[in-house]
Amino acid sequence: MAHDYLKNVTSIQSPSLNDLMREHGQDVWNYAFLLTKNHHVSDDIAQDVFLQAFLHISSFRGQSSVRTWLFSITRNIAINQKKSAFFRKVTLLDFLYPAPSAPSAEEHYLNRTYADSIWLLVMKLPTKYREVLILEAHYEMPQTEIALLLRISIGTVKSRLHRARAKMKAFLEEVERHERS
Amino acid sequence: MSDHKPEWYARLRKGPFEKAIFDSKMQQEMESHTKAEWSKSPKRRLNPWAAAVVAAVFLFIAIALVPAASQPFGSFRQSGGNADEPVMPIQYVLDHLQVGMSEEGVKQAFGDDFDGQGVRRDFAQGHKEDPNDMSTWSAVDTWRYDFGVNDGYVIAQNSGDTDEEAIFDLQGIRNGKIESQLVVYWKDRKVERAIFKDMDIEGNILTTQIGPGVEEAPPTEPPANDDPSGNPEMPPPNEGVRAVGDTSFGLFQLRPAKGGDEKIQALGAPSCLGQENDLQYSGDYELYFHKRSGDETLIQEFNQLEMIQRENNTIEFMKLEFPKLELYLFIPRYTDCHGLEFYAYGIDKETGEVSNFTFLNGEETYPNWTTSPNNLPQAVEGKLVVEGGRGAGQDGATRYVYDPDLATHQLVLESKEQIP
Repeated sequence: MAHDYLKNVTSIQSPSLNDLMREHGQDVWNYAFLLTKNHHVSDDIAQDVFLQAFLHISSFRGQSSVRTWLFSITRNIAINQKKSAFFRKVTLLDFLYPAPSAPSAEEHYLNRTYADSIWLLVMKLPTKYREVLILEAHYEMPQTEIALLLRISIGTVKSRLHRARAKMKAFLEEVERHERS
Repeated sequence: MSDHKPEWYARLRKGPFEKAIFDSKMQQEMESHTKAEWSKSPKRRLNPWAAAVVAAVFLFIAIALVPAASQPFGSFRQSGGNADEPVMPIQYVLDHLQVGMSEEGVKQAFGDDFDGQGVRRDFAQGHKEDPNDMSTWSAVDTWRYDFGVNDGYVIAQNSGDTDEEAIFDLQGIRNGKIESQLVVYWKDRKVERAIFKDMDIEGNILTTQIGPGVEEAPPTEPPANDDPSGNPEMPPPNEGVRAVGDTSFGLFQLRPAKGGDEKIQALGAPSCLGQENDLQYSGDYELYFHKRSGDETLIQEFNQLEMIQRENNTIEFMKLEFPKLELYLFIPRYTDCHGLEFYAYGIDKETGEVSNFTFLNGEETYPNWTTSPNNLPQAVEGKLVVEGGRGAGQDGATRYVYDPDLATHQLVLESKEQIP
């Protein structure tokens, strides 16, 4: 396992933090974005993830991969941020009460820069389906690891994946129909 | 579900964006921010001289403890003479406890001063045990060892729930009555798994697990439907006092609303909202003022309020002194990623009248306001000065100055300024 040595350290020295950021920084940021759909919030979450990893490396025992450990911190911070009253007031107001001229400039920009148009469809999925789908399809995470990360049973992972794929299939068929007409 | 993956999975391997967002510039920014935060942390690294001194002290302690370590481990229960060295180091547990060990082997390693418990359950026919979920086991036998026990400590009896957490006295560890606890789980008289819990210098409970099927659960949020009633470190929901404010005229008490549906759960993982063992309370609450005369008045009702506190502590209102007013701030969380919501209550020093103060910003009235988690509100020359929170993508924060108006029970915004 990469970074196996981490299970024996109590704090990350600067070069190791650099290694972690270099190796997992983009994955963590992407995961935060795929959960929150917000560029600034993802910056904030990624920063907090590495700060927490830096401060709490002693809680990493090596039973999961470093990436899964970082993802679990990412997920927790993202969920807690959603619960934060301040976050709701300051950041989510934009989502709750979008300007009539929607979509936002950020959305426009991000829509243009997706690596593949299929991501537009993925982002339309409800969070719980989107999450399992990207963990499997993008991060190629085994279902047992997904279950561990999300704290759900493998059966639930399978059923969510089934629904996510079914929705994606419907979206893709709709796009195809639209392109033909 | 078929393991055959759809063709379009290949399109998701790349992305979601064409360019890397987490670039070297962002990495550098985060690194410098992390270092800055680290330097604020009390867990700073020692300089070489200090490290050498600490190493020498530990070496001396280790030498002093060698004779004791070779003695039977009944003595581990007593706290040793040296408060800095753990009575039961985690490394000793890892080195001397393995899955499959016999009862005799465990006694040899850890002594026979343990508290044994056994629970049997009847399940319907066809029930299958999940090796990862103890609540599905029809028989659970445990030995609990308490290490570094203070004089007079009595093993806390749990409610009979054999859930992994319930068998530990986390409160006892937190308040220093016990230094650490080891629980050994038996199957067919062999060690099936073991869990060791102790506390780090910041007061966080650390968990070390030994055995199969006990992969460390990732620090995600705890299950929403957790029933905390059997967990000794959690207070029973819908009863008790969640926050207090001790004043010259009486006592503020925040209590769960009658007939409410209060939920209490651990945060489950460290984040900027708190530590993994912090408790999150949510539900409907009522704030009462209990006068010294014995009368009680309902001051405010809260619907779906959320609070997060360290351990199982009652929140204390923050007192601010003004010339004619005692102002008490109720801050439901102790830390946050950006800003802390708070409520204000005033007591007229002349009349003793207690009231809920709202915030008047121009023409808008707000029931509460937000403060920076790092710089809490202050009373300065008769005004309430509040530094606002900081959000993602925002430059700086706003400092608000409020003038308390006793007649209208309002904190009237007098001025505000942008601060870096």
